Amino acid sequence: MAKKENRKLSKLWQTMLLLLLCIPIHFLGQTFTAALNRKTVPVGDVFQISFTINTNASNFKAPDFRDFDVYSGPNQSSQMSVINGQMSQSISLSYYLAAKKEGKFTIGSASITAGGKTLQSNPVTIEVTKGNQSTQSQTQNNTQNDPGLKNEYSSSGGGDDIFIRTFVTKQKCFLGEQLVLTQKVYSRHQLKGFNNFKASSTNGFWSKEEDRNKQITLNSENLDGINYYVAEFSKTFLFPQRAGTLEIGPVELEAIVVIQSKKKPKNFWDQFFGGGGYEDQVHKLKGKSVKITVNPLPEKDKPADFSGAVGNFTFKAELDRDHVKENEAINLKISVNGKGNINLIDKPKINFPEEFETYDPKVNENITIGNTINGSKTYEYLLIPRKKGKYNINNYSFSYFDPEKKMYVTIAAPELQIQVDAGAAGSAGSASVFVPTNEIAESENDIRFIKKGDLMLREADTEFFNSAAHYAILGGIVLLFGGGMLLRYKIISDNKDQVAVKERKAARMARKKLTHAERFMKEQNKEKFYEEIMVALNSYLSNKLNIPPSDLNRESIKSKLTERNSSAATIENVLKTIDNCEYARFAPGAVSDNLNEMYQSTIELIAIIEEGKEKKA
Amino acid sequence: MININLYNFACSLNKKHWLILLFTFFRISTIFSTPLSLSDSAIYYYESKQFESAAKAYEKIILQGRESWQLHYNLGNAYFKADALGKAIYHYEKARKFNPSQPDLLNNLRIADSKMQDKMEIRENFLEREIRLGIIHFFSLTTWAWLSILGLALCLGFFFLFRVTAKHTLKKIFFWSSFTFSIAFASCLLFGFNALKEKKSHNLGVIITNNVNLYNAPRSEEKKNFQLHEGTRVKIIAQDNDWINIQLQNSNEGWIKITEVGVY
Repeated sequence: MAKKENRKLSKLWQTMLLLLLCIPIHFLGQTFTAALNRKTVPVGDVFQISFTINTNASNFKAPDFRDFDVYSGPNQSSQMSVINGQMSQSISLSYYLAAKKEGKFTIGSASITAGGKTLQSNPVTIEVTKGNQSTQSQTQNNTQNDPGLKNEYSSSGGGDDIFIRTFVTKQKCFLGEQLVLTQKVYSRHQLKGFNNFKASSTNGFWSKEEDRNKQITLNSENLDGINYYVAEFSKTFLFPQRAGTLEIGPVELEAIVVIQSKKKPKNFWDQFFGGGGYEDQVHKLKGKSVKITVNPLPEKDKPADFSGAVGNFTFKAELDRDHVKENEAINLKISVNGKGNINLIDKPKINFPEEFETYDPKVNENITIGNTINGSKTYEYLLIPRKKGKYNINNYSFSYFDPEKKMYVTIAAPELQIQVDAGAAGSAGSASVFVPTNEIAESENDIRFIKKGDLMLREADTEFFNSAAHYAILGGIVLLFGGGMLLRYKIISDNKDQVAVKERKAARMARKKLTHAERFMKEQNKEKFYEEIMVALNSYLSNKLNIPPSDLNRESIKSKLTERNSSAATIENVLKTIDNCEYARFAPGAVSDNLNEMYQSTIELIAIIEEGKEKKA
Repeated sequence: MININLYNFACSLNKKHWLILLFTFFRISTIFSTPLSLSDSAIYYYESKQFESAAKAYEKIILQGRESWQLHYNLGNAYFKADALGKAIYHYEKARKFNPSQPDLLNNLRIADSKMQDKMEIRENFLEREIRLGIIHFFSLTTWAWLSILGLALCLGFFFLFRVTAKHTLKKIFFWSSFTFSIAFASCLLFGFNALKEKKSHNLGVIITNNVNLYNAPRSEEKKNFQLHEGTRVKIIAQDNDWINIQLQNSNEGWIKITEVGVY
């Protein structure tokens, strides 16, 4: 029976122990509380919730903030105070939250581990009223130079004592619309300086940063009842280059503040000289990134000459002269003035008359950066009219998109009239601008006109040269020549034959004639005899020696006989015989009457000449 | 007798017969002259600045198988005005094959060349060729033929006289005249054959379409990394079906499709 009672007793002790353990911690001196800085707050307004524990603790777990946006946290701060001689310390962790929608919300308990025990904070309720953008920005934004800003809080290393606020003029804008990105540091303590500035990434934007080397001015602002020192350390002008959601990355900065030193001066001297108990504190700060929604420019009503200008502009065109002579240069200046993405504007499209020589314009940019980027861009065109006449430059305009009015604006430029008179004679090409030579050649001649007459078409590849006809004619000429030569040859050879024949026959013919002479001799007809001898001898010599009868004389006979290499004696005999015959004929008494002697000597003579010839042959 | 028969025949014809005769005569006569409609319509198109239509009309004449330098010259003009620079130069060169020293043609070709996009040194490499061409194209081929005939006639004639004459001084004159004309005859033939060879050679071309791709081999792979503009002159090295191996003036070589080049 005693064992049963013992078990009952131990069970009772265990229960009591458990109960003891269940007693809330704060009875033992540890407290973990949650507190709001505001009990009522409009939608979107930022408020603070802080969890405070009065002892060293770890392993903090925040409650669920599902109905709220967390802007920053956990920010840790610690405090020590001495009250009535009793020292107490506390550590608090705070979050900056903003309600997503109206209503009454309860934020649950956070938990923390302290002294081996897990402590829970008290839940808190907050009432969220209807939000108002303008009131929100008014209560939270006391700066006068940034109206209508949407702002974000930063997570920082300094708790709510120092943070970066990022401002953007618009979070929804059009492609090419100018935005201004401003970064400010808010500090509860005096700011001494900045280090290690790392600019935000601005992918998708064309950006122009304001010069950061100028003096940073310190202002003061009151946020939620707390006074801050404010320094604007960066201002950037952004022009989104593509549509969609673009992100501006977080900016990074090291800020140096001056705080009252918690350390007691070590000695009298430190207190006197040592800065009076102040020391520098460096905080590494990082801003928040900003998402920008970039809308593309509307396609509807987009003008044909729109070239990407977004902003608000004026447009002007002026000529330096409008009455010139041919080949004199004119300057046309087109200027675009205003604010917006001036740097990115393209040159306007102008249709110059054909007779004008134009060159790419000279571009001048004059940009000032104040609160916005504005300025002017001028295009100077050099024009040289090549032909006289009255010319108009019209039909050109400048279009831009006004993001405030959300519409395209087209400014038409006035019509420019240019009067060109004829140049002085020979002034063509005297323009002071150098023109490449092949272009001059082109303007001087055009191609010559087509052949309008009969095209004289033939089958391809019919050429007279090397054709049958060509060779036929050539051949004909050769044949003609050949024929001629042949004929000549024949004539000559015929002649030669005749001579040879004559020569051969000479002796025979002579003998025949001598026979007659013989008859006359027998008849004793002296006259007739000598005549016959003469004839016989002459014709013989003529035929034999190839001497025409008219040329027959002593000289020709002599020369021909010499040619034939007849002996001198023979030649003399021949001549003597001829002489005798002649004497006999014309002076009958002078010569002997011995006809027979004459007869015989003639035959001998002929025989000798014949022989002589044979010898030679 | 015949005359009387013809006269009777002529009298027996009535109006209708005469018309038929006239019509037939004209139809026959057109065989021997330029097709009137195509050429005239081309002229009309050209003068009313419809250059593409003019070019089409002239191309139709070529399809009929007959050509002349005037035809190619006109075609070149039409293409030039229609901004088809490559085809213009191609037809001017074809015209030059027919009539190498025609001044209007040479003038227009020079203008077309100067419009060329690739400003390569056109004349440098081909200078000696140009000198040679200047000589052999001094006269037309037909003229060379007739000159050769004249030369031969004079050569042989003087030779004949040389043989026939007895007098010494005359003989000398005739002999050397004959010799000179024999040289002349030989030269005429030489230049003529050279000119003929030029005319018959087809180893030059002009690119006639713009932005032609050049390949390393007669296949559509292995594209070279530059393109040729129309109007570029090329040397033809070889052919492989419908691919042609060309050499540019800067000695680069490559293959292109035959449709992209006009060979002249």
